Amino acid sequence: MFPDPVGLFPLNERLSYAHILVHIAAADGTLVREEVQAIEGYIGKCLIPPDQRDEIRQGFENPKSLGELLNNVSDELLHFALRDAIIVASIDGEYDESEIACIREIASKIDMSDEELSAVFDWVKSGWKWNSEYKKFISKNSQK
Amino acid sequence: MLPDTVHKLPREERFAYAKLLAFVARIDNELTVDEMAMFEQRLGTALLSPNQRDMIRAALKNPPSLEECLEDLHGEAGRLALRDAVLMAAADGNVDEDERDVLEEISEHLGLKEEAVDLLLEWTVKGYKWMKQGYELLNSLEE
Repeated sequence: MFPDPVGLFPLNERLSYAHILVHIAAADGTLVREEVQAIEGYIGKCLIPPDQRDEIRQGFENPKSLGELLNNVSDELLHFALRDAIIVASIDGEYDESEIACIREIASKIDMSDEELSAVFDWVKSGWKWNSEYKKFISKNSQK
Repeated sequence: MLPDTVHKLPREERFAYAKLLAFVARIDNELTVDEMAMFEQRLGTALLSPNQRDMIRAALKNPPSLEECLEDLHGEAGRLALRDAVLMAAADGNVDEDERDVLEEISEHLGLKEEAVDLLLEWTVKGYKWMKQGYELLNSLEE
């Protein structure tokens, strides 16, 4: 929804970043349309060439190993991946244990403490609150 | 970046939504990397077919007229398109006069209240602050 530096990282890192998000979305064994929508948005935002997007989408069926993916991404991009992984995991309204385990694995890779991780969760929560506010400006009731 | 209800719209309405964003992205005849990334992000969330995506990317190169975009845009799709048009117009940190005029025209077409664009701009500023807090948080965690 906002400009983001993720698109400026090397393509191979962005591909792994996208695969990490797919891994998170597929972690609980179910894939809702909102998760697919979010992943498609992230794939677009990080400007992955259209001809390479199908390979990422295949991850919904066969996700790549998270451990291997984490080794392909710089710590700087992993911070963004962690942020966006928490957003993706929050989409269906609750954090599944398998999603939390993946998020913890990313956090561990960048030496993030539980307290720091908790701060990112809080930030995501505040974003959902902000996001919901637009509805009152453009709902049917706000028409003339 | 947060998902929303765009994907619940009928496909033809999602197409009209994306066509308007292509128009908005080209209002000032420049397309920055940030604007392109935002456009592709919104295109992704619209879950269009590959063929429709190609048509929208073509529209980005040769934008349709605003009137043509608005013809097919009503109701929920129109309101979401206005919201995201405001976000895109603000992507470079500034909403210029041409962009503002277009936003007002869209709002008027949708029959929204006069202050709708102002309220959405205020909402957008809050959103940018939220994103900035996220960057600051992530930066503070990096060694």
